[in-house]
Amino acid sequence: MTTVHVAGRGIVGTRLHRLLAESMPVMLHDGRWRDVTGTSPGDVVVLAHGGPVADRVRALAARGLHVVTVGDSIPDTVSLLDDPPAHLGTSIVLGAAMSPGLSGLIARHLANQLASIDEIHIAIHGTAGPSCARVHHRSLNGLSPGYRDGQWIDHVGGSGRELCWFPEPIGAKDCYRARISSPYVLQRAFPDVARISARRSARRRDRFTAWLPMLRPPHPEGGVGGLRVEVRGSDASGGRQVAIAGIAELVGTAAAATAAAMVTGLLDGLLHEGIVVAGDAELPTVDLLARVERHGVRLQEFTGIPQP
Amino acid sequence: MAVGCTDGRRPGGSVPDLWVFVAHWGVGVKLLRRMLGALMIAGAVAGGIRLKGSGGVPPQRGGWRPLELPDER
Repeated sequence: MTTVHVAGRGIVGTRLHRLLAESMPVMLHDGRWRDVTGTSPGDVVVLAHGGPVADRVRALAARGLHVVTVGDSIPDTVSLLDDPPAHLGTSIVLGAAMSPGLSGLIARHLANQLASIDEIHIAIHGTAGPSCARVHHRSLNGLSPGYRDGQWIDHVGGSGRELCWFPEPIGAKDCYRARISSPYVLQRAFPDVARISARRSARRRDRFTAWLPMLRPPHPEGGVGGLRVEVRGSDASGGRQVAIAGIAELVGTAAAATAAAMVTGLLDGLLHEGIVVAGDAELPTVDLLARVERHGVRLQEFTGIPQP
Repeated sequence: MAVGCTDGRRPGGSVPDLWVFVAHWGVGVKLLRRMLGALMIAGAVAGGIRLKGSGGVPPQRGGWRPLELPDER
């Protein structure tokens, strides 16, 4: 029977282990797990730890293993998208967390409701465990990617303030451009979209201290986080339409649920071989979203405020 | 009896000297009048806006609702 190996004992790793262990054999390893001789071709390895993963993904794919990544590293994402790893007929799911991951599934679901789309805007709030918090801290420094009219633009991290409304109890948060890999993943899934942006919520202190090391150790787990996906396009009659959906959930829970949906979908034969990104038109998006919901994440849509 | 310094200045600091200076040049009164005028106009505008704007009624509908997935699985 296929075994799922989860590398990383953080919030996401342990929660994913708990979600999957009821229905399949799951082994939880340390994030530094290197001795993969215990794996068999066809097994699934979920990399749920911080740090670079590109070389590890290539090595695991070359052994005939399915690989699911949960991280949000731009160099890894660009490397794996531009130079896909050699594989033996297995799937390599790139980004199976809240964003990238659930954001792509929601974007595809919203896009399917419109005749055409030309803009996708992502906003995220909150962090999972300490590793995620460190990534959040660093992401507000440096350059953040944005896609506009076929070109990648490097914006200054922490710029572009926008007040984004998340599902309750989060509400409105000021969000800023940040170093997030989601735009690259979304552009792969939606190559015809003209504009893609990703922002994350931050306080003044976050932005002011982004260039410094973290001044204090991060919390064991962040509070309730949120995801907001806004898709703009047109309906069949050419009218301008905006569709918005999101979640309000612990980020670690949302990430684990998305990873669990991808793993079970993979084992059920729903994912194609090679590089798989959430939001890909070939994926059974509704089925995967339903799996995410079954793992306890409530998806919500914004109905808009009626005009007088 | 005049109380003051031998050079004609009043004792006790430089502020009165400055005031005498600006009054002599006709700057002080004009400046004061303009400041008071600006404050009165600003107060009148702010008061008008405050009285006119009721704040409206918060939206009673709309917002977030559970996303219903189509049954096409």
